[in-house]
Amino acid sequence: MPFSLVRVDDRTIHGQVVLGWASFIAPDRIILCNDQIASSDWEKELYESSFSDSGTEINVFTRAELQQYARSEKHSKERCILLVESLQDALDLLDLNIPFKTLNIGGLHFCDGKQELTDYIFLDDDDVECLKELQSRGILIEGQDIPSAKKVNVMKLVSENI
Amino acid sequence: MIPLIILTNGVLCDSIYRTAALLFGEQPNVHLISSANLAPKEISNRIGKIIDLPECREHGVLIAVDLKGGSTWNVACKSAHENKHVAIISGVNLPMLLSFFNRRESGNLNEVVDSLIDAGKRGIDKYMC
Repeated sequence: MPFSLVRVDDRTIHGQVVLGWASFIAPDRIILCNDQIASSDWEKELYESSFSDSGTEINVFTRAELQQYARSEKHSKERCILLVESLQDALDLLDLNIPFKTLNIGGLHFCDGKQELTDYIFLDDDDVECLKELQSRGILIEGQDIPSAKKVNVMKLVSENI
Repeated sequence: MIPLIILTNGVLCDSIYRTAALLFGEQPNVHLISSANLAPKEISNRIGKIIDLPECREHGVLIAVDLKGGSTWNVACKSAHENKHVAIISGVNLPMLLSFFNRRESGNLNEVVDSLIDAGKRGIDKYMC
């Protein structure tokens, strides 16, 4: 099944996604794929209940659960936003046979050792390697934090600035 | 005196504290963190350093965030997990802060949190002609 949006965001499920993107895309479901959070009961509950009155189903799935979901006939017509926390996680989706053509970089914020690309994209060497690998596998990489913001050509900025 | 962290999106933490200070005067033991540009890990590190301060360990500490379910809420909950001396409230507003500054010298953390949530709710009302 095609996802309506595949997004890398270190803040995972938060206002920009549940309020901003969800009102733009009107998804049936928002999925965060993250093995660590999905296997911690209290963290899973924290994220799944975060916007319980938003009207959108929110799930935190392990990679195995995501594969199962993507294969399921029952969900094949759903509109779904898929979130991952890091560029490495996005790259791993391809190895899990989760198909996508465009990757939205919604937020990779500042922490020690990261270099600024835009005010919401900060990268280290490993991130740049992941981006190059994603590009070499034919993925279009777009920076855009919220739907009303202008799309940024991430690879162009990387080649000019990093 | 119970220390306070105000953790919000954008400039809200500065603005709401500045406004409270106009009414109540400058307050000690207030830490302002804007999540702008910061990765959750970085915010978590900053919170971790503050909640480990001796005055926080001794009196407890309140983290006031803007949006339940948003990144500030999620990071605060994760940073405070298993730290019984930390309380988190969402939906921070001016009546809450004023109640907090009024009571934080005398009350314990649980009492202060209950009364500031009450003050925050009472500060929301309507008047229609």
